[in-house]
Amino acid sequence: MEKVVHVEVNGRGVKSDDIAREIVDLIAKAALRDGKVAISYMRYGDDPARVGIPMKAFAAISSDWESIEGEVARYNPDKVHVSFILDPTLSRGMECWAHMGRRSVLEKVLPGGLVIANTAMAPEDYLRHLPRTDSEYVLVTVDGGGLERPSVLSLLGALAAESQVISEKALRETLGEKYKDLGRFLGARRALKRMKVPAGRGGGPVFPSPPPLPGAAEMPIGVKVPAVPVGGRNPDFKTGSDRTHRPVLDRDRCIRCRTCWIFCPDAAIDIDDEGYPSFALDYCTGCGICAETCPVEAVGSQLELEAEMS
Amino acid sequence: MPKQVEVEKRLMRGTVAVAQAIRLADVDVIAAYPIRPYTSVMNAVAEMIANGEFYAEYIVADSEHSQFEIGKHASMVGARAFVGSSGVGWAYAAEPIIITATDRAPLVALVGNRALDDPGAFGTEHNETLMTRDIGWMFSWACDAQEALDLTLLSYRISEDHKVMLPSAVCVDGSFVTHINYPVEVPSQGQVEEFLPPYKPMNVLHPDNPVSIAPQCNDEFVFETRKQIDDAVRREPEVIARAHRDFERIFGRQREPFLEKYMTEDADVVLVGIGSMALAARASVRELRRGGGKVGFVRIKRFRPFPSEELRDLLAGREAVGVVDVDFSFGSPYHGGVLYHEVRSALYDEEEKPPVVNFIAGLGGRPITPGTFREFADISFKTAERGRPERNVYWIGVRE
Repeated sequence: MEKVVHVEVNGRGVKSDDIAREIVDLIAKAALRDGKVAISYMRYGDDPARVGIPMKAFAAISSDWESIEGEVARYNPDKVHVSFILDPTLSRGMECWAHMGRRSVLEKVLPGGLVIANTAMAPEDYLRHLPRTDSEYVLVTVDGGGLERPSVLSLLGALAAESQVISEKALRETLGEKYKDLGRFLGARRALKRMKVPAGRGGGPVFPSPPPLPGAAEMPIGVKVPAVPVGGRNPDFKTGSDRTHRPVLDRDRCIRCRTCWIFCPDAAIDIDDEGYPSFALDYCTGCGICAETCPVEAVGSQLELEAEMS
Repeated sequence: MPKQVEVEKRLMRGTVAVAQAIRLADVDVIAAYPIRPYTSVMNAVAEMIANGEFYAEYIVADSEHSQFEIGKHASMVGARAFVGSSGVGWAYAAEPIIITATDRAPLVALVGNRALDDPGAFGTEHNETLMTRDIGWMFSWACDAQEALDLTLLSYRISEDHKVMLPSAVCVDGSFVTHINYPVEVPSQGQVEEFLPPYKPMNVLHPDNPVSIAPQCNDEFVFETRKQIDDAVRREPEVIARAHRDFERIFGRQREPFLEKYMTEDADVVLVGIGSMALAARASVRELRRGGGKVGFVRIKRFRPFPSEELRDLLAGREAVGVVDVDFSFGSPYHGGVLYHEVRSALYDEEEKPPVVNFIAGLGGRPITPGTFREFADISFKTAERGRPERNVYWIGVRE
């Protein structure tokens, strides 16, 4: 074990940011119970008050405080030993509120690291959605019960079963202070599925390197940035990673009234040559307002990972 | 159309002299909100506009906060703009004052120095200016009405230089500069036009060139914007020196851009001050010289950028230096004033460091007279004899 062990939890604003925080807090508390020292924190540049926006939470654990000190004043660790994915659609990428571009959900996982994903899919199936990695890791899937409110007990049960980062006893005692029924924690060992993912595997999206950041001499003075041209969209800040479901248009029902186009809060709808709405999926956050406001129920919704497979 | 006037000496208050500079600089937008002593400059400008002496958009805001926002925005869309305030008014405008620098608007402001409340007082203290000293504004201090006029013109020239593009404040002591009539040489419009070219903004806000200004960003960009300001501030001394050379050539005044040195050449003891105290200081130095005391006075004309090298060259090797602060910095090192710390810090690397003592004086606008300066000099000479300060900081003229 290295001197400092880092754990990250990937979640979504409002939908699971509280669960992400709960997991890192419980891990840190359990570490203390183990006689270790630990800290837990949320990624400061995130804005988890926005529905669906990808967000991260972290815990850092060590046997002594001195080795953890250098890890404290950071927004995120460089690499993590354990990574939780609370929502399988996060395989589509993580975009921080800060300017980092869309990044792989596995970006921080160390070679040989452990990834625990909340999904009913088997690891082999989920791997088709996950981005390719340059090194091997262990992928564990556990059905924590639902996209948006996964079970903390199932996920920490999987951690106890697959990792020595914290003792099973400390986790159980820490959870026992809060939860009466530890059935899902204790049952996770049997429920989970695991696979060793070799380097170079993963059928999900490819993420370009983040854009290089300009030096002071290259930046316009006076905190100015070129505006997005009228009718255009920001190429460096795409909000589509917020989405778990995408809108789907039923052209037979659509009356081309443009109500959805008016109400879309992200201006992510274009009107095509025939007058039908089309959805700019790089920017659509999947909020569902188009479906809500459609007077003829012509806008439906499809789970992202299903859409990827179809 | 501004009319051509011959150079002539007229009797006018510091604030009216500044108003004359505003007219001569053909300022486009003036945002105003009253607070003494600044009020009298806004009144003087309003009167000139009402009399048809020049034209400017004159906006009376609902507060200093709005006033400085208006000035900043006007400056950013390409207007030459003027604002000003005093004491708590300057403090209330602190937020737009900060943004004016970060957004690189070459706004020019008058600070009529006034004690911060409470207790409410009209008299001079420099704390309101000094609380904004670190954010990229340039601060110059005038010692009389003539210099207030000159520094206002110089401020536009320096701020609007594309090597700089940062705002300037011209600081004048309440009452002593703002409200006393001095003989003032008002330059001609032709001279000013030769000295001060029209303001060319760097990035005009215009529909043809859409930009987003001051977006939210985090540590990936903020550090670099600070570096840009640091780079610009480091270029200021050269721009200031060139502006002063041109000023002297065209107007025949304002020789030294950073320091006014009075009888310092052979001085064993040098007193350092800022603002209107210079008049009493000169009188006192002359009197002390008649008694054989080798004393001189140096007035810091620009507080930002701070003239570190000039001061070091001047003060290194002296037997003692006394720094006069019309401000306070409670709980600071040795409980000294702000100017004291700056001067002392500038001397730190000198091998021949003089002992430095600090005088807190004139707070709340209590006059600093030649008599007060004699006290400064006495203590400074004793410090010179001893070779080191007995105490670091003296409050002079306060009832204990």
